[in-house]
Amino acid sequence: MSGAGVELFVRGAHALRRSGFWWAVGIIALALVSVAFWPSLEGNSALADLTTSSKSLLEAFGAQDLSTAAGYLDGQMYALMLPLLLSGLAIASTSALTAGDEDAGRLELLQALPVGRSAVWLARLAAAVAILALVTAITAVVVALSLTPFSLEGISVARIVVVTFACGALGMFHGAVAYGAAGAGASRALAAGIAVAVLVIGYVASYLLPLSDALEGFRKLSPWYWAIGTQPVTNGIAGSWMVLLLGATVVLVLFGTVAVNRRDLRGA
Amino acid sequence: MPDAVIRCEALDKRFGAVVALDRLDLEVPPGVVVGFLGPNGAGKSTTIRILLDLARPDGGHVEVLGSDPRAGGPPLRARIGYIPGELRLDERLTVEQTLRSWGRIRGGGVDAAYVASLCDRFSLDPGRHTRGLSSGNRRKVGLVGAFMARPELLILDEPTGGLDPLVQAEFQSLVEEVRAEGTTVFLSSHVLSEVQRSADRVIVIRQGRAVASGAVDELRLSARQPFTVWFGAEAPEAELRATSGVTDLVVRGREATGMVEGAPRALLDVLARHPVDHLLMPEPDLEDAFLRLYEDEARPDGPTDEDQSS
Repeated sequence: MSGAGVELFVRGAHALRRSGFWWAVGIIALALVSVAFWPSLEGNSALADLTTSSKSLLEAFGAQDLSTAAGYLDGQMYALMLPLLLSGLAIASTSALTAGDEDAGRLELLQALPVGRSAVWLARLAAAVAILALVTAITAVVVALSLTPFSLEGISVARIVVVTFACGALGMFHGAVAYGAAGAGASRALAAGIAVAVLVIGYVASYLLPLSDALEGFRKLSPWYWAIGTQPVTNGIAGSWMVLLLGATVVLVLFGTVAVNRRDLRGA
Repeated sequence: MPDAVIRCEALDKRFGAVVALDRLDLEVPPGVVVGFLGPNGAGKSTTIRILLDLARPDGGHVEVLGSDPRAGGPPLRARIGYIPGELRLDERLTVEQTLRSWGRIRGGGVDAAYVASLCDRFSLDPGRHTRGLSSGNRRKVGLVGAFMARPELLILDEPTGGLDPLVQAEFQSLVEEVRAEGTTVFLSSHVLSEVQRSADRVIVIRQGRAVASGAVDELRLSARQPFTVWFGAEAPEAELRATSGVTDLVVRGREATGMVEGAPRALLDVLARHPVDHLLMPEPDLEDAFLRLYEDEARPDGPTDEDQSS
């Protein structure tokens, strides 16, 4: 990266430091609460009963088997809450640094400097991705270090790291949706709104539609399914679906970058 | 050096149904200070945004320092300093951090001592946070940013709005200095008084078209100049009224006020034949000259548009 690129990246990351900190606090709190409750729930017969009696209800929230440690982590954190929060972080950061700063007129002077539009936009996306990667890494470390103290048995550290980063990849995909929309000229609110809509539709396709056997095939259209399948901690991550997710992310980033180079920037 | 630093030919720009630029023709020769004048909404900022590739024209041809702004890209913008009309700073930084950041994005090569001297001349405290700055101080940050890389071309959109007279004077002397070094300055404003001191030439834009252009000196000659004379005896009213070029004459005892159009030679001849105690002739009001020009141009579908835009 050139000196200008580094500067643009640093300024973007600097702008995200406060909001990034609070997102990290929330996500790490979720991880800690999730793992800390396992010892008191393990072997709870009511939980096992719930698993058999309210199967559909649990599945709607991404949980299937709460009686094992892996199934518990899936249901409590990895199947729904963590992907949702990491996607929220990615959408908020990306839309703020791109469309948000354009709305506020802060890109006007920057883009009049000797730096290309692609460089500015990609450096800002890189800053958002770096914050996301940092929060994802901290979460993976927190959960991995908690496995033994909270007796979450039968789960490898490698599985936790891979699954946590798969959730991060889903977040990056939704950040790329916001980036693509912002590049095409959407305002901050519109770009974030489109990305949240994709996030919710993906959730519906991955968890709600499959409750009807006839609609189960829609699951395979969902970025959620591409990233984490159904029970990521229990079943692991499918490499081929992950390639599809990353490919779609790259296409969205290329789309946004090409689009922003072909239009007028909004003035202050 | 190309024969024109900025050249626009038949430039068109629309925003939906609104025509912002309507076959705009414009030419700025190298090494001069050109005032770009027009009322709000005339298309000044749109033109400037096209010159910097922030916006793209719908038609016509545009060239800045010999390149198309889009094809020229960052290497072209490295030769340009710019201050936007609506200046939005990153409020998370201090003045110094802001200027350093711009310097780094410019790829270094910005002389820190020169930046410090510019801050000093504009009485700008580099340690202050940009969030708390008044609009005038924000403009100073923008001005330092525009001048600091010693660019070949300065594009300044309403540069002195909100600045106090002392800083405006400092700005004018800075413009004169860089012009002496060969820098071309393109200075937009909706008020003539903002540019008449610094500009060599003026281009007037109205409803997206250049309606008039000319040297400020020529304009000065065609402008009406106010005068007030206190005579040692009764004012020679009849003689003054008969003097060519004198209008709006009001005589009160020994005092005569009025306007003189064009060169004031005939008036001075009359005054030389009488005992004059005191003579006051302020700067000619170019604003007034332009307003009259606007009024002429405002006639719908008049052929004068074509005649005077050359």
